[in-house]
Amino acid sequence: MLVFSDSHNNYIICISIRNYRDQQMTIFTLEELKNTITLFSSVQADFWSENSIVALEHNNHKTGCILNVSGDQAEDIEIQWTSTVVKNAYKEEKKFIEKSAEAISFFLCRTYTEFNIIEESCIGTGVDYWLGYDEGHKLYDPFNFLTARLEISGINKETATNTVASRVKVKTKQTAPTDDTSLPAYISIVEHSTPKAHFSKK
Amino acid sequence: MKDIRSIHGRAMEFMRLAKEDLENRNKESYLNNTQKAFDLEREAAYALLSNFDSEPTRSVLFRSAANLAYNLGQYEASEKLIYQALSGTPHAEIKAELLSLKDSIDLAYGLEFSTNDITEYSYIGLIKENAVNLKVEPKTDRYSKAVVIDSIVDFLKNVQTSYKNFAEVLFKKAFNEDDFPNFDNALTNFKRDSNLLMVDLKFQSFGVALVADTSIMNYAFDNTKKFTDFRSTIFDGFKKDVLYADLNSEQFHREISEKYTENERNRIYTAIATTLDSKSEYRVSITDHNFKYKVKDLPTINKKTISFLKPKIAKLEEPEREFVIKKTLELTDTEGSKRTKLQTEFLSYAEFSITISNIKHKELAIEIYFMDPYNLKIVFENNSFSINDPYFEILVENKDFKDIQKLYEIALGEKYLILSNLQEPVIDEKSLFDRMNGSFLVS
Repeated sequence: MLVFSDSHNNYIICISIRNYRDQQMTIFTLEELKNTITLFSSVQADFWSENSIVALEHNNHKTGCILNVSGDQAEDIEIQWTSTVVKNAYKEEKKFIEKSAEAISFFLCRTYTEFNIIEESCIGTGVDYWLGYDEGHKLYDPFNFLTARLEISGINKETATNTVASRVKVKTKQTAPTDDTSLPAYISIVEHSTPKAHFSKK
Repeated sequence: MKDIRSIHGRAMEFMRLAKEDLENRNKESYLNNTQKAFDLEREAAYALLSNFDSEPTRSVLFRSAANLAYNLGQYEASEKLIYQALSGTPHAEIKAELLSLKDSIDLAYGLEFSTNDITEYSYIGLIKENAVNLKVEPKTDRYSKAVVIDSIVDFLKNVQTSYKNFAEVLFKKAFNEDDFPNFDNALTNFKRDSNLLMVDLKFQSFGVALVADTSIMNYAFDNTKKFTDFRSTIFDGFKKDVLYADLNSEQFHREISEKYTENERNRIYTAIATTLDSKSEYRVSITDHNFKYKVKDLPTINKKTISFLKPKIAKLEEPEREFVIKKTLELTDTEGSKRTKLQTEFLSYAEFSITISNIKHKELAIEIYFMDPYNLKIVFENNSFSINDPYFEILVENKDFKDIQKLYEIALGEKYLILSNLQEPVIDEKSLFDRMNGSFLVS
C-alpha cells in the first residue's frame, strides 16, 4: 500500500480500517433480539429491545455506540438500533434499566455461551432466568433442560459505591461456591452510562 | 413421553398473565391464572419425581411450583413440593431458596395468613418495584450508627409533606374548574389519596422503601383518560424533581424556575429542605432495592439553594383568621326560658353528629333514600369543617358549617353515578357500589 500516492494511500487505509471493523467487531442489533432468544414471543422480545433503546438514549447514546465488555472475554461490541421509541410508556428508570440489562445480557449469553435463554421460573412474585441447550444440540437433555442460572444486574450510572466491579464482587460472594454442589451460573452486569458490561461464569 | 419443557413454558405463560392481573388489581383472574400456572408447573415437576440426576431442572421446577402454591395460600401443597425437591440433590443455592420458602410458610401459618393476605402481600411486592429506597444515617457517631427516632419521624414527615404538596401543585396545574363537576371536591379527594406508602424496611441504620400507589388502588374517584394519564406521572415526577434532583446545580435552578412559581416551590420544597439543611442531624441517601448499594446521596443544600427553594414571598393578602367554636352551657327551664349562663368554652376541635335519611338536590340527577338513617360525624378542626366517611370513601371539607352536609350529599350522589356507569369496575369499586346499593335506594 505504501507505493501508492498519498491520496490513494489514504483511500486504501480508510477502506482497510472499515473492513477490519466490519470483520472484527460484534454487533448487537437490538431489534434482532426476537431472532436471538427464540423461546420467547416476539412481543416479549420487542418489549425488552425497546427498554434497551430507552435506557441507552436516556444516557444520550446513539445507535452505533460501543459496549465495553469485560469478564471471561474482553471485547468492544457495537450496539445498533433503528426504531424510534415513544418514551411516554417508559417513565420509570429503575424498570427500563433492569429490562435493558436483561436484553443486553441475553445477547451476551448467546454470543459467549452455547446456551439459549430457556424460560423463567417462579421465585416469590418475581422470576429468575435459566439457560439451556437448544433441542438440536448434542448435549440437550429433555429431562434436564435448565442447565445454568443467569444472574442479571442493571446499573444506570456508576457511583462511588455502586460499580460494576462491586456488584460482581457481591454476586460472586453471594453463595460462596466452594464445592461441586454449587449451581452453574453466569453473572451479567450491565452499566448504561458508559456503556459497559461484565459477563462471566460464576 | 411428556414434553416437560413445553408444560413448564405454558405454566410460565399463565404466570405472566397472573402478574398482569395483579397489576390491574383483578384478584379473581389473578388467582385463576396462578392456579393454572401452578397445575402445569406441578405436572412438569412431578414428571421428574424419580429423575434424581436431572438437577438443577428437577429442584427448580419443584421450587417454582411450590412458590406458586404459596402465592395461592395452598401451604400444605407448597410444603409437600418443597420436601419433594429436597428429597433429591438440589444445588446449595436452590436448597437455600427452598428452605427460605419453608420459613415463609411457617410465618404464614403462625400469622394465620389467608389466600387474600398472601395476594395483598403480592400486591405490595408489585408496587415495591416502583419504590425509592432511602437510607437515613446520623451525621455524628454520638449513638454509634443508630438513628434517633426524632430524625426518622422528621424525615418521614418531611418527605410525605413534600410529596403531598407536590401532588397538589401538579393537580392544580393540570386541571381547572371545567374538568370536574365540583373542583374542590375533586381536589379534596385527590389530596386524601396522595400518600406515600412504606413497603419495605431495613433496621440496620434505617432504610425505608417509599412508593405512592398512583395506578392500582388509589384515585378511584375519576377514571377519565386525562386523569388516569396524569396520576401515573405524579410519583415519577416527584422522584425526578425532588429526590433524584441535583438540588444545588445552576441547571436545576434554571429548569425548576421555569416549571414552578415561587409559591409552588415553597409548597414543594420547604419541608424536604429542612431535612437537607446543613443543620439537620441526619443525612439521606438513595440505595438499590436491597439497601445494599448506595445509588445517590441526597445533597446537603447550600444557602443559595435554600433561598431558591424557599423564596421569601411578600404577603400581600391578609393572613387567614383563625376561628374557634364557642360553646356555652346555660341553665333553662324545659321551655328554654329563664336562661342563666353557666360556662363558656372556646374549642379548636369539635365533633357534631348528623343523621341523613333522604338526599334530594337540584344539582343531583338522582334522589337517594336510605333504608336506615345514616349517621355521620362533622369535625371542626384547623379552621374548617369536614366529613370523613370511610364506608362510602368520601371526604369533604368546607369553611361553612351550613354547606358541609350538602357537599357530602352531592359527593355521595356523584360517586354513585360514576360507579353505576363504570363498564369494567375493579373489585374495590364493585364492592363500594354493592355497599351503596345495600344501604340506600335510588330513583
